[in-house]
Amino acid sequence: MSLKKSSTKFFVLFICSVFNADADNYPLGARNSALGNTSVSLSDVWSAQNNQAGLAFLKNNSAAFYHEQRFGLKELSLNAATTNFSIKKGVFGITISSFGYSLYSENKFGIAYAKPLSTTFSIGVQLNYFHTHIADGYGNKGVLVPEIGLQKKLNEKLIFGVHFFNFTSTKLAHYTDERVPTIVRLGMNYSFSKQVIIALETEKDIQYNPLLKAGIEYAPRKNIFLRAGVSSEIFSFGFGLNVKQLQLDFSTTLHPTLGYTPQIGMSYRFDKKTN
Amino acid sequence: MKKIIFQPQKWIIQSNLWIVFFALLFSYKVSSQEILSDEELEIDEKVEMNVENSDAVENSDYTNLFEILQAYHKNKLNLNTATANDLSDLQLLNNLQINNLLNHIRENGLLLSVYELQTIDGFSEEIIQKIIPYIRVGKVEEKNNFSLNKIFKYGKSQWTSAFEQTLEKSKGYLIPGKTSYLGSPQKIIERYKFQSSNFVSAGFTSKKDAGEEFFSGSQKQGFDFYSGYLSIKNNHFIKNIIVGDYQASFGQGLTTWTGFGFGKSSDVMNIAKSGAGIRPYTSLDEINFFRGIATTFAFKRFEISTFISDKKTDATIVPSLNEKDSLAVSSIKQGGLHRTITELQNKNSLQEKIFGGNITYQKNNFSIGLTALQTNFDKPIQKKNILYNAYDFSGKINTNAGINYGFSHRNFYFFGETAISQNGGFAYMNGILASLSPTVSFSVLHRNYSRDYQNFFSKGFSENTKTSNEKGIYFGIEMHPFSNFSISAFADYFQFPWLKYLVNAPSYGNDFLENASYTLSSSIKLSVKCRQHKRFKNMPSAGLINGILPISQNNYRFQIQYNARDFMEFMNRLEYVNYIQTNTVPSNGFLISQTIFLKKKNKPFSISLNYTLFQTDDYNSRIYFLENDFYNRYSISDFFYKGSSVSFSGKYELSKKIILSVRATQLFYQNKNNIGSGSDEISGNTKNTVAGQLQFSF
Repeated sequence: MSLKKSSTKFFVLFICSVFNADADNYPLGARNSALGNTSVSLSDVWSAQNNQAGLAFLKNNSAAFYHEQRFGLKELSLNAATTNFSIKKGVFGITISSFGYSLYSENKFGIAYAKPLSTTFSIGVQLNYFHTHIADGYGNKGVLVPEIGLQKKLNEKLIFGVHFFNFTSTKLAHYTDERVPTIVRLGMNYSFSKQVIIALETEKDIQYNPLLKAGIEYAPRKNIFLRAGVSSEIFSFGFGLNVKQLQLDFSTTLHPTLGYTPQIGMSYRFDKKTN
Repeated sequence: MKKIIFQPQKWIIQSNLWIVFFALLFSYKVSSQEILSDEELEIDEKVEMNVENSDAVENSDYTNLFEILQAYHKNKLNLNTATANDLSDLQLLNNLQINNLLNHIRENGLLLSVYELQTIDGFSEEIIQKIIPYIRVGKVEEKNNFSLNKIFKYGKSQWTSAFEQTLEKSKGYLIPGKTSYLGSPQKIIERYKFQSSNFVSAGFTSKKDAGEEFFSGSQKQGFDFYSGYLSIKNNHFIKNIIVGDYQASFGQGLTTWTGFGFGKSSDVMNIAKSGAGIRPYTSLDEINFFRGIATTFAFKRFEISTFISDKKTDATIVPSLNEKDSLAVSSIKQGGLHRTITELQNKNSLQEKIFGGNITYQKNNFSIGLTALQTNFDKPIQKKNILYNAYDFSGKINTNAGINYGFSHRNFYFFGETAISQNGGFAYMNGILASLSPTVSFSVLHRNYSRDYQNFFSKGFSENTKTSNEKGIYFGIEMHPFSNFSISAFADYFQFPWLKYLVNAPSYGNDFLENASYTLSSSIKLSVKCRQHKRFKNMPSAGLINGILPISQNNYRFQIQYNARDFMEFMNRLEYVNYIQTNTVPSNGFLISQTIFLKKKNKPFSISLNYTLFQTDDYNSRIYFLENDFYNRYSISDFFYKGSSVSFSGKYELSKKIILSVRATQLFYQNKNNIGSGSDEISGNTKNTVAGQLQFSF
């Protein structure tokens, strides 16, 4: 074990503890990132991670990949993939994500099911298997974590969403009573026109101060999207391109001291006929 | 209530009928006779934010802004002949709206009615209501030729005589010594203005501040400050010549900008500056202007301005460290006060010669400009050897150059400027204004001013008071989800790569503002404003290592404005401030205020009364309060500790040509036995101030 490696590991652990990254509920998707993680009321391919209730409002089956390199560091990479497919009464979603590198990693496997309770109201649940790996004999640990989300369309323009992550307060380790964080998010989005959506969200992690977030998406053309988002200390922006069934999204967030985090996402919308 | 009546004229009938139809469809009632007009309150808000941001209550003189509006109120701006500069003078339109309007006229011909504005992108019903008192839609008039006869025939003059005094004598008047005030406690201002059509204007300003001598001692010539100008405008090759005092502002203010430059406010779409070029100086600020000759020539699509200035300014003189010069300057003074022996010693101790110019090329909705400026001092600037001054200018000659641009494309307006100083320091900023839908507008501005960008006359968009040592990005949004309801908000993130005064390390911060206003009916207006401002400052107690700690300052304000009777308007304000520096005791401030405005139609007098109670834990949680009155349009105070403030103001029109205005204020402290500090300290818990002004027009 070289000194360099162990110091890198220490740094990673430090960053993880500073940024509340231990077995966290990572927000996924470059659209979501560009909008300042205001996705609780949105419905898109990453709903399987961000609010499962959103899956119920999807019109097509789809699949997506996502990659992010936190503060430009390879060791802090996050890779994720998701897919969703509708059955008669609802929609299934599967998400896999992996954060970290060989010496430290957090992996998540989730399976979601969402069901529209009416044309304007939906509910979604997810069960995750969380797996943390720390090298050098610290070992591995896996736990089960549940999620539940709701979305309500108040009218054509206004949609509300709420999401509960780890409401069971699952324990990760007996030592210092370490638990997977419990997070509640509540938000809304409003479509000012077909081109402009504004999303607001408030997030409370059981350990941290509440966060207020806001995002805006503007489509100057049908297949081009410009986005920006703000929350305390961190802002983000990005853009998306839609080519037929393929959508490409780019975004970046900026932390005042740690710098840029670039993100890229790609998703594919399957034809309805193939369902 | 005044109504704008739609009057079809010959030249309307000849043209497109659909526009007329459209105009009739939208010819809603326009009520512009409220006692306090909204558009002026909007400027008030900007003034207040400007004061809050720069922490300078008394230094700046904003009366100019209202004078411009008042001038347009009397002599309405013809939209069909207005230039971009004229339109930005209104302070009510942003660059996107201005460019869209000019484009619309270029593409569709002259406007036929004010209501045609509705068809232009970015013009909401609200904004049209706001500008209507100041604009008209008229034919393109024949340009008059310049003639001496006409100048005196159509000339109008205005003489203003103003006086102000605090009745309680402060230490400076009572205790003799080096810091005692040599003069009397009155402030006296005499101003004269002459304006003839749009061609010739001239003006004269003289001022004596409280504590300064008057026709005696060091001020044998009478007033402490004199300023004057003569301006000749022509619509041909020579566009403008100013002799005397003037201000020069170009582009986005990174290279040359004297005069006002608003930054952040709840008018989140108004972040792009539009340099007004050279313009006569009529303000009371004794420092920030140029004195000499300035000209603007127009040649095809080019406009060329040159200016030269030679004046003396106040500075602290120290022995020079280099061998060539015997004296040097450690700081340039801003206040313009010459009350004590020290202040008089600093007076006019630094000679500054400035020359520069600008070339602007304009075609349709595109403009690009080059600006250069050289500052020459007769003594070298030699700032104190403190770490936060490390990148500041030293020496005698500084040169700056910059390039700025602005253009609109569809529903976007792009703007920016890049500038350098002779030491290699740079500053650049770029921004976009966008109207995303009829109900949503968005703005974004990025700036990067290097720590060693040195310029004495720059005023770029910034969190800092100076245009250097700052990187940042700003997002603004304005939404009208329902009619009568508007929300505006901005988020600004900034970093200071080098130390600042009272901040002993590189630091960062952010600034969020949310403002919602709701007009319940034509007579009730509610608004809520919240601001969260985070930045770093030195630890309060200096130990061995004096580090920095974050400060979060939160302001919450609720304001309601309503007509009690048709001659009586009420305004109430509640404000709460919360100031927390990590590891220290939080400090809170609270203010409650009631203002009553009385103004009866056809009666020559108007009266305003204000009563305010405030309580703050200390100076950190002070509350800035801009009070609207009939004396000077507004007055600004910063309230701290515990007490009350009562004020009365009145305006009486003795005749159409003579207006008398008065103002009296009493400040009372519940928990203090002295007010102010240093030579301004008054023993006792009460401070009374009276002011009066007489204005003749002939």
